[in-house]
Amino acid sequence: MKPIIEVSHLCKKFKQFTAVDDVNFTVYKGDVFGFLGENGAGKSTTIRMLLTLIEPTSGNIALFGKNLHKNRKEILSQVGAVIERPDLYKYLTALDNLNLFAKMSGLKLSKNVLLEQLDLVGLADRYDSKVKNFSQGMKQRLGIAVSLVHNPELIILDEPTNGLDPQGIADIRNLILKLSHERGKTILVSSHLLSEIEIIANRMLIMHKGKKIVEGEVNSLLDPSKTIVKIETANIQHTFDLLSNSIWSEDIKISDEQILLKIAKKDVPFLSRFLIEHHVDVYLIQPLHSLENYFLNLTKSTTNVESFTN
Amino acid sequence: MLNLLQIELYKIYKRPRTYIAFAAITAIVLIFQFAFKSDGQSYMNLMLQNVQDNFELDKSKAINGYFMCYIILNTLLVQVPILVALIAGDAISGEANMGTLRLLVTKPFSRTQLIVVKFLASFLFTIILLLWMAILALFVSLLIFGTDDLLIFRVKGEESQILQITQDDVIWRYFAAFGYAAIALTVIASLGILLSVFAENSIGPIVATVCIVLFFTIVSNINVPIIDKNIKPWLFTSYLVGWKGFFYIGVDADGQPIKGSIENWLAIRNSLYILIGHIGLFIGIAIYSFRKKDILS
Repeated sequence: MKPIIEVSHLCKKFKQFTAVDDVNFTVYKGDVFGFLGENGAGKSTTIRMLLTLIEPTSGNIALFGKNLHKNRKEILSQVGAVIERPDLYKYLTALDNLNLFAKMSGLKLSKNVLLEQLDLVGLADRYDSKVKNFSQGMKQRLGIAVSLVHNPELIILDEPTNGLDPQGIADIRNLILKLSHERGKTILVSSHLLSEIEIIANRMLIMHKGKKIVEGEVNSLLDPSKTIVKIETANIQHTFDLLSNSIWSEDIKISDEQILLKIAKKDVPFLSRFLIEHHVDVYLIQPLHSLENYFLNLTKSTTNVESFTN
Repeated sequence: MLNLLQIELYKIYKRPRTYIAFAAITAIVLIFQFAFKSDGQSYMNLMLQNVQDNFELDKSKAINGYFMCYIILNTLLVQVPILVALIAGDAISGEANMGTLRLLVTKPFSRTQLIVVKFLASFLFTIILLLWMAILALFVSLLIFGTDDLLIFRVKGEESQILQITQDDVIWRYFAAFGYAAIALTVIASLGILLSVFAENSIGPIVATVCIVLFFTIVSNINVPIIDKNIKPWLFTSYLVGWKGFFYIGVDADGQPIKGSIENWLAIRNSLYILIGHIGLFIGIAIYSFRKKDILS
């Protein structure tokens, strides 16, 4: 696999504070690479170094096999980014903004091509509206359109779902998957939401207090046998007794009108059938995020996990 | 680079704030023209009260288009720096404030190019602002008040002087004066850009630019020998009104004005060198600082 981002021994110090401490990672072509960590973990600082917004204190960054510092212009022409908030020129229309940033990349695109870009993010019908009238979700989508306007090979999205409502989050998630699957883009997406990364990323890196904790394939890092399923039924005690006498009797807990059951993810449909066959009125069967448990094991800190899931 | 400059100019053109400067200049010039058209003689009487015993002047001809432009320039070129600071002080800090700076810096051009383009855009804005001022203050005044010889009131040392420039010797002086003013105002633009590099909102650098200009201007106007000798030469504000030198006509041994001459061209040239030096210094520091800056906004 061809490496697109290669980071080695990257450090950034702000006076006495070390924001990024000897971080190494590689992102390969076609990856949706999840960059995970709580607020202040060093994700944004690392991303800003990848985009030359911040000068590293030490370490090396290579993008597309070339040194970033020495080949800045050439490399950045192949990179699109949304960094934290998708701030654009509020006094300009969506089309004007898109056109302006296309020109900054040396492109002169026709109105039709620009409208196609806006259509990709669901804003074609608002092309003539000024950005100051856009909702946060619309700004976020326009920001992504701007990052894509020069057809970059690598897309870097820093907390792209921040401040969005559930529908907005789902829209951005679907867009990322679409860009990866249909357009073959390499995407680095940072988030403090575990569930987010679990759904969209194939590889991930977890940062904690400026250091890399782990990097690898999401599927291999997560043990599918450790999925915790939350169950709510009409008669919780009866359900608990039923499950206590089943094959899942060893990993079951009851609390606050719900049952938590440790089960392999592939067995969830089987559990569902089992309860229905035993005439249990099921209100809810919900697999909890296995990444949460994984992260909890890594950091041994519940407060971190709570900050991720809230 | 040209592409980037076009983009910058487009952004300036589209910003509502840009038109504050043009509206302010238009309003001030129109008020001047209305006031002088209505009651210009009272102003002339006031100005001439110390010298009218020594001169025979046709006051009705003294108020003409050329004179109006001189009066307006004299007043406006003190205020225009504030309008230039509105645009230049916003150049980088405005982008930081909007959050667009981090997008700009991730585009495939250098930070030096970005500062140079911001500077050129501010320079062109200054030129366009001065052209607008020239159209209103000179050409519209000529239409309203007509043409005649230009009378300049000057205080030189302890004596008051009236300089008379024949009407066929005036217009080139205005072109030269506007050219000089463009350089002088570009110093303000450069200072605004320099200060905007260090800020993350527009208000700070705009206010700081205006405060520096006002403070230096006040110091430049303190007529005490120790300040004249030791401080004024170092203040760029001492040279901002150097455009007036183009209207100080040279005289022959008999004290008669020499058509097409300037009293002290060397002083004007040296002032221009100093102003251009300041532009280079301010932009140089801005580029150096911006290249080193971590974009955290």
